[in-house]
Amino acid sequence: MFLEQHEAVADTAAAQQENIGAFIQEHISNSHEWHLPGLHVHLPHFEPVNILGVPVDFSITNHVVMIWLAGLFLLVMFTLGYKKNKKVPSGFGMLLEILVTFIRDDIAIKNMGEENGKRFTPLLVTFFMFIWIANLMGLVPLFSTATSNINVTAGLATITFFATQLYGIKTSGPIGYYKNLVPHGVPILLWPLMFVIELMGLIAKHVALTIRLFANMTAGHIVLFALLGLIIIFKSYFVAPVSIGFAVFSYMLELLVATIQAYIFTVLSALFIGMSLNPEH
Amino acid sequence: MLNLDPGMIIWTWITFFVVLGLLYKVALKPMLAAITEREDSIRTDLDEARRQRDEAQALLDKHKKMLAEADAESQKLIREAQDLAQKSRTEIVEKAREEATTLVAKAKEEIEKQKEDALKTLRAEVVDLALGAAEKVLTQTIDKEANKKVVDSYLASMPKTIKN
Repeated sequence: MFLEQHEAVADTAAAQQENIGAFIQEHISNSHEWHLPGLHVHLPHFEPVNILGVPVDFSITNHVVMIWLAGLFLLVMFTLGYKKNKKVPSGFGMLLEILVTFIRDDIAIKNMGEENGKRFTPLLVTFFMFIWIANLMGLVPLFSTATSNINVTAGLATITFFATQLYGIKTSGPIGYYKNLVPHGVPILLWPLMFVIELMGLIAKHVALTIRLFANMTAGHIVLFALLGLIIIFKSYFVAPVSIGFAVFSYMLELLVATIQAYIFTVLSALFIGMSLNPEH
Repeated sequence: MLNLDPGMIIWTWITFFVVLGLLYKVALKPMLAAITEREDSIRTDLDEARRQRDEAQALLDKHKKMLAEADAESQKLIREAQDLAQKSRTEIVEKAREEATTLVAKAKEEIEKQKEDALKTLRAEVVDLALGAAEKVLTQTIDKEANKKVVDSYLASMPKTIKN
């Protein structure tokens, strides 16, 4: 693929630059194919289905496959790694347990309180592990980053959003919940304004959650490909060590970012759900 | 890159919830239960250990106290016994001294009395003697020689020593 691209961009410097941009674009975005060595998997194309007047394309795209793989990998990891009948786990099972305990104690219980924290731990563990694996898959050759698709991150953030609304309404009732959006001690005349602002803030929080994960995962990959693209743009072998050095560096950085973003997404989800559960805080 | 694709969002939801459900059933539920159970058992064990330690400490304190009490008691008893012994010793000594004093006084008195008696007897004896001699002298006043003989014989008839 790289070679094809190389031949294709061999003409002029301008064309090269344009093509590098297109190459990066193509690599980052979703597609209906999965490039494996010596095999181009053409993924099934479905006709869009109209749901409430909106055409919804349920085609199995590359990123759909990636999130399936992430979920499958997660399930396999937990099924093989964790032995149910062992009272004290060892090896990989212990590592998983440390992760789960960490999420339960330091993310869930810290942000939601003892009882709710324990209730939401499964959701948060799945958030963390799922996003982490999806992030890391983007760093493995042959796989692509599903979390650099804004629709995937939006899907995940809407889960948080619906969780906050659903459990907020469940605990304080629909009127009580939306009344609690407005901070206490606000003059009655400011209520309509404050309500609108708080509602916008509520939506903005989750949009920010979407954009944060998406932008972080996308940016890293763009940097990575741009650094490697420099070799082709400059048409020089001497650029290669520098480019590769920086690319390796940013790859390492990406490993860190993949973990940190999964962690941040989980912490913020816990925080938002915790806030809607305990409005007084 | 930024185009909205509802299909993808829905696929994400489906995938996520399937993964969440399966993961919960397969691993998370037993895992969290095991963690909680282990934590509970550790907590109860710790509580139990703490309680037992407190109990042992209390027992130790009690024993120490009892030991100290016993020690004090024995000290007190010893002191009392010593006091008693000291007291009785002083008493006995005092009594003995008194008795000795009385005995000595009594002996002195006795001696005095005996002496008195002896002197009395001696005096009577001497009077008798003198009277006897005088009688002999009066009855036999023939001559000086005869008188001398009488006295001598009288004296010879007397016992050699005077015993009282």
